[in-house]
Amino acid sequence: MADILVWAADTEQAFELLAKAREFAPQLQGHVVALALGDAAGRAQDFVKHGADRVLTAQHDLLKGLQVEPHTDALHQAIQAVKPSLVLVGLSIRAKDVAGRVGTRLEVGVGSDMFNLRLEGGRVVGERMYFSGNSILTEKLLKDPQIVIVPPRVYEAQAADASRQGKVEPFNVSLKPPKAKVVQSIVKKAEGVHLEQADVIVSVGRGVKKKEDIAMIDQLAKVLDGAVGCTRPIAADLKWLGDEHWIGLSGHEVKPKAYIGLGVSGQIQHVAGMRGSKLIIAINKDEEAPLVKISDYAIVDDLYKVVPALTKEVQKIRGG
Amino acid sequence: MKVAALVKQVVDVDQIKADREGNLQLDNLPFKISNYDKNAVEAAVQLKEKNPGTEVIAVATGPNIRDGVKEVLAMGCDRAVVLNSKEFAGSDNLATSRVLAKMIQKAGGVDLVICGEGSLDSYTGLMGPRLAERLGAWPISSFTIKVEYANNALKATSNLGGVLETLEMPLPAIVTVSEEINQPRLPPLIQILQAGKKPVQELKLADLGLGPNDVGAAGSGNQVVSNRAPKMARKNVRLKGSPEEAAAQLAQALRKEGVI
Repeated sequence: MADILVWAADTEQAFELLAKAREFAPQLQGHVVALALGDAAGRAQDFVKHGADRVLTAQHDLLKGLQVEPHTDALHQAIQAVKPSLVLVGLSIRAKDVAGRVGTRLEVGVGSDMFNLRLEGGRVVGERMYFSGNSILTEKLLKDPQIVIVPPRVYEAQAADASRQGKVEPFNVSLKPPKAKVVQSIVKKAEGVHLEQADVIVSVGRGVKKKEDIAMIDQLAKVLDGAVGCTRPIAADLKWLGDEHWIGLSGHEVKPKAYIGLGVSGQIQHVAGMRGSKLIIAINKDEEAPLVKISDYAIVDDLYKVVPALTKEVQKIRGG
Repeated sequence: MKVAALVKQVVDVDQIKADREGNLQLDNLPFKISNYDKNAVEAAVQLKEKNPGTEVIAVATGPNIRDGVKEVLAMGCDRAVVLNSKEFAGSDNLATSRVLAKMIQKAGGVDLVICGEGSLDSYTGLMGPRLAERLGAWPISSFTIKVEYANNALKATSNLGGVLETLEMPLPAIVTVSEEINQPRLPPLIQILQAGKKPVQELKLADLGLGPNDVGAAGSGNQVVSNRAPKMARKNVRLKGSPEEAAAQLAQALRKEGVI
């Protein structure tokens, strides 16, 4: 018996991981156990419907939001109780801290931001980006529990199955007040952009010279019924677009039908957020840009000439 | 206050090439200080400038770190503690955290550790939380974009994707920083020249109470199966001609692919 424990602060992410856990469960001959902490505890039945055999629920004042120290204790205690062979954790900045702390308490390796997970003789083998996206590192986890952090949208959640049966069990956690206290939490204004839902994303990179030029890109996005995304420098350094447009490790992870990078070089932080796109299109003057090399279609030319022409051509097709 | 800034020397990732089979050609590549670590050093030096009496210690590793550490000493670190160990190569973040925790303890009385959000080569983002645990359940702020110190407490703000969260933490604590936190300074020549005179303490594994089994492949939790150039199953079609011609081909391709 080698159980799989699944924890993600975001329930959608948890459902994605439950789908992968179900796939692994027969090979490990174990059960799929979901850990539902804080508000998620109220949705225990949803975890069952999405693939959990057991759901451990814990509600506590300190488990509201995602405070690293109490969540570390809770995950650690759940691992001690369940003794899983594999722990799947949904990636977020705070969840990574939780997984890293728990892995250190247990003196085990942690797989970070992994995709293409598979099992070889009960051991997890996964891939992750390395050398700033210049290589793919394949790693095998050697010790139990094998803790693997999985980015959102790597796996697809199964549809909820109301006929699935599972046990919901309250789990007693012993928590102490954290040393790090949240003193301020500001929700940044979003303009109603939902990149994750967009079928087409037109993405702005450093090849775009000034903020005013984004109007031209908005136009292209509009004729494509798409959304505008961007790289880290455009959102974080130049602040030409809000964080809701930011694609990448610290931003949104997207999988549109088509991703069109305009003057996007293809740094690791960005590619990690869009590598799952069905079609990748690169428009860039520099043919050495990594994005050009991983594209389905590339135009190596001046985006300022290509974008208006492309807008016109798409309009022609849409109009006809 | 004693601040340790963690510094890792990495291969210059922009110069990595692969052969046709996808094997990486890593021989004879130059090394550099991981870019996020310079943000960490800058954050530490800025805290020193605002809080007199603060000492900044670079805790540094890398194949040629004795030389490499001069750059961060020139940026304003007061001294450095560096690792001299052949066995250290091939350590994963579990094994590395064992070494760094001991080095930080050797540095003496450190109450704040600042490191990058990740390293330029491996970028797991796990070193901060691992050290937080090893150093005795210290509080942590990760991917920090702003840090202030007042009244014996740190205020650290992170961008959690749509939410700006500020944590208040007592010392000792650990902070990992994002690029947005600052612009690392370029030290003037005089400081570069003086950097060579700053104290650098070189430590071996035995000085840290560690043995060969604590590091490298033997001390790691993860085993590297392979490290190869990305193989993306993509079409790799180059659309040629004038911008107008290429755009027309792309529009037709998007139509065929069912995008429009």
